[in-house]
Amino acid sequence: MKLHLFLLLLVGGWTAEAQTNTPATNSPSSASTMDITSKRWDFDQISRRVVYSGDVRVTDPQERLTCEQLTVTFSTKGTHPENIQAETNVVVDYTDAQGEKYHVTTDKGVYVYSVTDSTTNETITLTGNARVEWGAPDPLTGERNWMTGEPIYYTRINRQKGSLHALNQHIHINSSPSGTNTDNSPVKLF
Amino acid sequence: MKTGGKKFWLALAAVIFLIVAASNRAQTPPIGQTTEFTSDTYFEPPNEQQVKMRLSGASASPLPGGLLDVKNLKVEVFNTNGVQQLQALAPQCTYAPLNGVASSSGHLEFHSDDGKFRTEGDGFLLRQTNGSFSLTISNNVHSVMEIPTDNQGLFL
Repeated sequence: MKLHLFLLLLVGGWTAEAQTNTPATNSPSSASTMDITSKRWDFDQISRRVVYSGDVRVTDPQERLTCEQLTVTFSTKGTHPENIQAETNVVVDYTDAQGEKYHVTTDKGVYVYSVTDSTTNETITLTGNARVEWGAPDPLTGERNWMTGEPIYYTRINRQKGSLHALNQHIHINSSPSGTNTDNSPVKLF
Repeated sequence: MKTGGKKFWLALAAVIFLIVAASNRAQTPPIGQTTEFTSDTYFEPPNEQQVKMRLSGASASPLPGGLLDVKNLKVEVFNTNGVQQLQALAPQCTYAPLNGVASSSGHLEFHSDDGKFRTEGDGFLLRQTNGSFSLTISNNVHSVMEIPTDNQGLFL
């Protein structure tokens, strides 16, 4: 059950692209554990699906995800989840290895994993008020860097560095030195 | 006289012990109660000799309506090679053999055999359908899973 993958995709994938000049290295040396709490838990052996519902909280040493429902569907081949959905009031807080903090909010986040002709495809789609914040607050406005899109996509192939793109995107980068990303042409990231 | 008194008390203690022991033996299971209750489900051919799921308990007492009061429930799920994959444990449940439904308002623990995933909670409903099962935990769910090292730092 590789929920960490989803969280890293959801957040790490974002940050890897957003941090243009900072080669983050989020690679803990040892395995850790992840806690998930919820009000209800449903497991179905036929559909290979686990559903956490009601005040779902996922925490591990580096990130925290909250939502109202988290659905994990496992592939019929192996134990890799082929689909993970976080739904309703999805909030992710993530701190990378450099201590940079990211805050993601969306109505729904869907991770899809598939293998076709030995090619691994992974996508994340954020829909419904998707927004990512990062960087230090602007000393004057208190606003952090942020990005929105409807939807926001993240895709990658064969576990190589992926690409991020969005429809109806809006990006705000603090121009002051306090901003993490001082690149004045963020659009090229996509 | 002192020695005689000591013997008296020893004899009295022995009599009490024998009475208590006898009374304990007299507490035999009520009619219909079984021990080491087990219910197996098998794979479809060609693996029909392999147990797919085993539902067992330390004891099972009959309840009205054809139900069973099962103590120390254990649910084990195996693959076709006979290797256990999942296990669920509960101190008590009510089991409906004809419907293949086990339920309880009590605690349940569920874990994978490799120990990398476990979850627990209070109140559960387990349904056996066509050789498979579904399981619902209705309150206070807490899961702990080991994060594989190859899942870390994938993008960073």
